[in-house]
Formats: sequence, C-alpha cells, structure tokens
Amino acid sequence: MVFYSVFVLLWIILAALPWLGFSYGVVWIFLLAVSFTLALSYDIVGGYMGYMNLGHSTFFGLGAYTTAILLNQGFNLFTSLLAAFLLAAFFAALISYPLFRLRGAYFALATFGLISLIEVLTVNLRDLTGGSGGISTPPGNHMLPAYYMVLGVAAATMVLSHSVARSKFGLGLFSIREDEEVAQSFGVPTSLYKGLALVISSVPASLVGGIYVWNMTYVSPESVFGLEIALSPIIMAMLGGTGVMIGPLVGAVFITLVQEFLWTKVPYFHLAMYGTVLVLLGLFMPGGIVRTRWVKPFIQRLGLGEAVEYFKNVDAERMS
Amino acid sequence: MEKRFLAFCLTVALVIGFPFSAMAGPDAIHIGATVSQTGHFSSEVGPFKRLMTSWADLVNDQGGIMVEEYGKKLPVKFTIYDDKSDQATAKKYYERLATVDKVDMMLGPYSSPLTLAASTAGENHHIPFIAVCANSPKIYSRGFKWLVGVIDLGPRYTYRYWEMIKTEGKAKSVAFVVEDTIHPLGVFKGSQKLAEDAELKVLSSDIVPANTRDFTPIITKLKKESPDIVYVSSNIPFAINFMKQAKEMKLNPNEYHCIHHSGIFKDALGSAAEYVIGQSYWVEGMKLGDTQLINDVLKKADISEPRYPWSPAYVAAFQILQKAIENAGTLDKGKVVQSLKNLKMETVLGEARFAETGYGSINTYPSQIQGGVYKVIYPPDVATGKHTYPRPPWE
Amino acid sequence: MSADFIQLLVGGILLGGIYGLAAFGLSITFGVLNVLNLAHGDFLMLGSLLSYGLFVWLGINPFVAAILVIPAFMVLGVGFYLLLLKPIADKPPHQLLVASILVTLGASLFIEDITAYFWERPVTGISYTLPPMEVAGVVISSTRLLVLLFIFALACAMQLYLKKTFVGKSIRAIVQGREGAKVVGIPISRVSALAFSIGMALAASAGAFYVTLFTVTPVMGIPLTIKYLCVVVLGGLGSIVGSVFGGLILGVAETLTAYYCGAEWAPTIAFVLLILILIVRPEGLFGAKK
Repeated sequence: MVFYSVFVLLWIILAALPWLGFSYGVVWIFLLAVSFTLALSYDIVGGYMGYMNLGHSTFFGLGAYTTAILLNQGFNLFTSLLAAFLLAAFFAALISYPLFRLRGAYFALATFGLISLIEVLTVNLRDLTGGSGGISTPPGNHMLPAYYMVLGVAAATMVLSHSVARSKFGLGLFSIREDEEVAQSFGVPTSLYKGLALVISSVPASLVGGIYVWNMTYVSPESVFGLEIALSPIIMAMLGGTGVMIGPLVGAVFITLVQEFLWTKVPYFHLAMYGTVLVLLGLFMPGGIVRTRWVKPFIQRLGLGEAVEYFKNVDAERMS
Repeated sequence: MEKRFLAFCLTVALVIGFPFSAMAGPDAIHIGATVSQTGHFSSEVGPFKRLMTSWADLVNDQGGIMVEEYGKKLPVKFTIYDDKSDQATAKKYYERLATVDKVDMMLGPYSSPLTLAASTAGENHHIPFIAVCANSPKIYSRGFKWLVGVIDLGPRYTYRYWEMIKTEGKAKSVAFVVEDTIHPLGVFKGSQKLAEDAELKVLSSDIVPANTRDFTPIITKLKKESPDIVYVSSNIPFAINFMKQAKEMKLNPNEYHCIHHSGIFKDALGSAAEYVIGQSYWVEGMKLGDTQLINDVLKKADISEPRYPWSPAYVAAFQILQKAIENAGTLDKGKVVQSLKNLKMETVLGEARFAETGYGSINTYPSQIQGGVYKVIYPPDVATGKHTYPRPPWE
Repeated sequence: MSADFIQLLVGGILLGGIYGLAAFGLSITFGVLNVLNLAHGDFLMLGSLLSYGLFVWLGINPFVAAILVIPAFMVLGVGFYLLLLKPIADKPPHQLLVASILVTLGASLFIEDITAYFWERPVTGISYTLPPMEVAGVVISSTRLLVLLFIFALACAMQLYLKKTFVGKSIRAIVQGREGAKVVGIPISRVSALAFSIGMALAASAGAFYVTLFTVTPVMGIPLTIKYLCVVVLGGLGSIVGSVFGGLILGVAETLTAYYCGAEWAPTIAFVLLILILIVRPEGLFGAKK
C-alpha cells in the first residue's frame, strides 16, 4: 500500500506543478514523462520477457506520424490518438511473426534495423508523410493539456506494467526470459505471449508519440526515428533496472537530471560522459540502480521485493 | 518508514521543480539563443557561441546599444545553451529562455527543423524571435506574429544563378541530384521552376537519401543523359562524395553547381573542385558596402569564412537586432517586434527587410572556384570574377 | 547484357568488397566473444582518420597506410578487450547481451564525442585518385579495383591463418562452441583477446580504404555498424567467405536497386535482405547450423 500512496502523492505534486509557477518545470517533466513511458513500455518486452527490442521507438514514431497526418486532415485529437494506437498495435502484431523467430543479439539487431526501414519509408512516401521535411500540425500552445495527458498515460502505463507483472501472463513472460524451451514444455503458449507482449508495449509508446507531436506541432523523420530517441529509453530502463517497474522510473529521473546538470554546466564532452556512465554500468552494475546494495532494501520495502530478488545471483556475484 | 518516503518524495519533487531563478531588468539587453555545439550540426556551427559573444564584446566595448527609454546605452548579454542539434532539446531550451531566463529577444537555432520547433516558444510567450539560418517556407506559413527571419526563402536560394544562366543563354539542359533533407530539397523545388523559366530542359531529378555514399548508379545514368549542367543540391559531405566519384567515372558536363561548396569541400576534393559553382553570402573583395564588421567579428571569434560560409549571415542578424532595438527605443517586446517588421536597412550582406509573413531578403550569390579562390560571378555590379563556361573537361 | 548493366555490376562488386572487409572483423568478434560490438564502426572511423593523417602529414600512400594501421589497432584492440570485454565475458547469456550492449554502446558514444572534439574537421576525405580504366565502354575505378584486390588478398591470408595455424584453429573452435573449446584446453581469454584485436585491425584497415573512396565524419560509426551487421548475418557468423560474399551481394543489390527503382530505395534493400535471410536461413548463407 505504501507503494500506491507514494505514487498517488507524487502524481498530485506533479499535477499541481503548473499552478505553482514552475513553467519550465512543466516542459521538463513533460519530456521526462515521455521518456519514462517509453522506458517502462519497453521493459515489458525487454525486461519482463528478456527480448532486447532496440526498435521500440518505431512505435513512438508511428504514433507521432499517424497523429500528425490525421490532425492535418481535420480529425480531432482523440480520434487521431485512437487511430495511432490501433495502427501501432496492428503493426506490432504483424511484425511479431518474423521477428520472434529470432533470439538474443539477432533479435536486437533486427529490431534496430526496423527503425531505419520505417524511417526510409517515411522519407520516401512523401505525399503521405511530407518526406524528409516533416509535417507541421495545426499550431497552438498545447503545453498544459499535453502535460496532463502525458502524466495520465504514464500513470496508466505504470498500472498496466504492474498488473502484467502480477498476472499469469506476466509469469509466462518471466519464464520465457529464463528458459524459453522449458517454458514451452510446461505449456506456456510462448508464441502467443511474445506477440501479445509486443502489442501491449506498443500502445503506450504510440500514445505518447501522438501527444508529443501534438505539443511540438512539428514532426520529422530524424526527430522520431533518431538514435537518441531509440536508445535513451532503453538506457534509462537498464540503468534503473530492467524487469522491475520502479527501474525505468529511477533510470529516467536519474538520466534526465544528469543531462540537465551536465548539459547546462559543462559545455563539452556530454556524450563522452554519457558513454562512460554506460560503460561503468555495463561493467559493474548490470542489475541497475535499484538492485545496488544501497537502494535495494529501500525498494523491497516498497513491496517490490520479489522482482528485485529475481537477480539475486547478480548481487551475490558482486558481494563476493 | 512512511515518513521517510514522504520526505524522499518531497525531495524528488523539489529537485525536479528546481526554482530556476533569473533576473531581467534594464541593466542589460538579454538575448537568448541555442547553438548546436554537439550533434550532427556541430560541424556546421559548433563554435558559433564565440561568434555571438565576440559581437557582444565588440558592442559592449562601445558601451552597448542605445535604448532611448532609459536614456543610456545598455550592454548586450547572451544566454546560450547547447541544443544538441535536436528538436526537442531546442524547444526545451527556448522555453527555458522565455520562462526562466526571461530574455528580451531570441536568436534562432541553426537549420529549419530546429527553428520550426524552437520558434513556438517566441510565439507562445510573445518574445521577438529572429531566425538566422532557417529558410523553409513551412516556418513562415504558420502565421507567426513574433517571428522574423534574416534570409530569403529556401526555394529562392539560387535565383541569382538561374538569372545568370538565363541572361547568358548558353546552357540548354540540366539534371538535378538532390539530397533528401529539408534545405536541399527546398532549394531544389524552387530551382526546378527557375530552371524551366530560364528555358532549360530538366532531364532528370534524383532525390537521394542523405547518407548515400556510393553514386555509381546515378553517375551511370547521368552519363547517358549528358546534361549541360549537373546541379547538386546537397550538404557538403554528400557533394564531396558525388564529385569525387563523378571525376573517377569521368562524368563531364559543361558545368557543376553544388549549392554548398565551402572550404571543406575544396580541401577534400583538391583539383576536382575547380570550376565548380556554388553559393556564397559574401566573399573577400565584394562590393557590398561596409563589410569591416564581418572581418572584426570573425577575427575576434577566430572563425574563418571559407570554413563557415554562413557566418556572415549571423553578423547581419546581429546588425538587424541592434537596429531594431535602436529604432524601437525601448525593450518593450511588442514595440521591438513592430520595429523589426518595419525595418529596412543596409547590412553587411546588402539590404535587409522583412516580408509580411516574416522571411527576410538576404540571399546568396553564385561563386565559382577558380584557381582555388572563390569568385562571385553574378550580378556584374558586385562580381569579383568572370564565369568560366563550359568548364575544361577532365581527362 | 547492356553496358549499363555491366557497369552497375562492376560498381556493385567494387562497393561490396569494402563492406566485406569491415564486416568480417565484426563477424569474428561476434563469433568468438558472442558480443555485438556496437563500436566497430567507430574503429573503422579511427582507422580512417589515422590513415588520413599518415597521408596528409607524412605523405604515405593510403594503401601502405592500410597495412600500417594494422599493428597499431591490434594493440588498441587488446587493450579494449582487457579493459572492457574480459570482465563481462563469462556472464550468463542474457546478462552478457545486456552488459555488452551497454559497454560497446557507451564506448562508441565516448569515442565519437572525443574524436569530434579533437578532430575539428567535420568531413574528412583524401583527394587521392588514380586514373580510371575504361574497358569496352565500362568505366572501372582503379582505386576501387585495387581496394578489391587488396581485400581479396587479405581475405585469403586470413583464411589460411584460420585454417592452418593453431591459433586460427582455436578461434574457429571457439566460434563453434565455447564450452567445447574450453574442455579441450584452449585458453579462451587469450584467444579471445587476439580475435578481438584482429577484428579491430581489420576494421581500421577497411577504414583506410574507406577514406580514400568516401568521406568520413566522426559520428558515422553506428549507422555503419548496423549495415555491417546486416552483412554478417547475411553471410553467416565467423565465416570469412560468408562476409565477403555477403558484402558483394549487398553491394550489387544496392547498386541495382538504386538504378532501377530509384536511389531512395537503396537503403531499404539491406533490411529486406536481412529479414529474408532471417526467415529463410537464420544461420546465414555460409554459416554452420547450430
């Protein structure tokens, strides 16, 4: 219960932020919430199921483009967002067949390639997407409504992620991560579950994509299919800790804070420092921040102990 | 336990909503901008923060800019962030400049995509926004009231070249090779029409992905078509690769036009860059009025014009900014933007004024590389050299 | 067949040769260490810059530079392995995947940023060209032909090394099965270090050719790595013949697509081939079935 009350409180504070005069804070939290939602929805496939989907931002981009195109056709925002997430879910279902024939690094690679493929398609289908020049959507100051919508989607994604983790379906995903053959022989419908997980993870990503473009009033291929938007949510999830819901939140807050302070204080070597953090993380902290010795007890008291325990062996290794 | 969590959450909330305080007042004129110090535009404008601060130093050495309302000169103060060549980051920092740093005016980021995203901050918070190197018609078709741009629209980028071709009447056909990014594509769209107006036959137009490195297929096709002019509308790396392979495969049209042909282009291509025509805002020796300011600012900032040929456009932007404030005689944002819209002045790059929708009048001149030197070849009253046409073919 | 078609075929093969060389370096590290090295393209970039320096400041011919960079990058490769990859090499598969992506991606960002800062030239290209040859109306770039011959020579030498020497055999043994290789007493760590440094040296060597043909930018690494990964998967892991053929197939396919379907569709072909091969024959054209 502590867990829920903490989050409800946090959300109340965030919702009050615009009325307390933190107008830059609103922009800041908006971008943070977008990254966080992407990281958390990535984690359903990447963390729970153990398939590293480097192409998660494809759904974000699809959502952004569908919304932008429909807004320009005169549809209202909600219809456009509905269409965006239906399309993304359909696309996820479609690609799950060839993609899930692959595993490990192959899967990661193929999904990474998928982003470039969709990017090339967006650039080439000029009449529909505006080509490399991108499309502007009807202008207007949507910061505040967009902020509340993203907060809403982020909260919904947390509930979704939480209930997946507690369900039989979630258990099936965990078993696939540990050993797919064994899971299958114990009667887990692996193909169905894998496809379903991808579809579920595509929905929040496409929704925030749509809201993002509505607020930015402009979308271009490089802004939604670029390397940064592809990698940063995944890095956030891994830094925080994959396979446990609080991980992406910790990761997203940490990285955004670090970026904010590094970026404004030190003029050069931002990416280099970012890179160094990643290397150190890979070498010394594969379980993420939430599984380090100092943070773990804290997380366990939040009622998320089992998920953290899951990486017991990692921790034991480091202790020795 | 719960108490500790509440404390934790409050700390998080406080850190997130960090009260970024800043002062704005009549002690200085605050200008906000972002520069792409990192990311893919860093090669094009990386050190331009120095350009801005150098100009500010030059102005401040003379006491600053006269603001009548306060009856004194106010120093110029820049607040500059790194937008990482990324739209979301640019937008974020312009919001910050508007709400936290409370700047009086904004200078736009580099390129049209970033400007499209960033200019909404000026519009939403009612702050005059001067776009510098951004010329996509999309930027000015949104009916923004607080936005002006220094340079002319992208499609008109090479209109003086087509005027020259029309006047000379020698070339009969053209083939376009276009890099699929916003600026080259915009230039191509305008040029296609201008070429037809100049009574040239457009043999083909290839729109090619930005990261293409191998041009064998296109060059093979162009050899079959043998156009008089091969017009490469692209950024520099693209043009270097194309020209190198064109030479290797002995594609010999009468003229090559590469819209961007800065110093990097010349150095990487060596003799293959000879007689290539491109566009320059300004070259040494041009008769364009007082260009001393360009030399002063660039020298102080340690930035070379052939390496960064768009740097003079920033100097023109500084002049426009200064004049607009002087004319307005106040820092009241509404009056400053009005004075910007009505502005008509001679800058280092010729006359500057703004169209109804906000785009500017400053544009480039065709220049040809002759013996390793850039010569402006049209129009005759500012030219520093003569057009060599046709170019001597490669053996 | 028309002259155009032959011209395209020749162009595609010459292009594919460069893909092949860089891809093989990647293939060998992937095969031996089971690590997807996302920094591979960055070593190609560094190799390019080094040979650019050798050419411009010391006047060394780029083809000689392609050999000179090999020992330098082998040393660098061993260092990179010991520092960054050895500590994670023995993790269980899923953790190795995560850790290796973090480490190599971090290294890639680090290298790109530092290089972009110190190497102030945004685009680097060598103005070195040889006069082209013309055979029956088909223009053949002599520079590229020379590159292709060089690559074939290098590939043959590598193939001999892998087939005949003990170390070469150990490398192949590890590619086929890490556990098995351990059982028969192959010093996995030392051989891995060597294999990694070979992979890196090949990337750097490919970089020397790359800079003579194309332009190089400090931030080009990751897109290149993705393309080379496509080649590796196409040809099959750890197979030098596979990498070279995968490269040639991709080169020809890209060139033909660009000519007949329009240049804008050329980048899609790598992924179409990738998806096709993964569905039809996931182990690649020349890969051993596991």
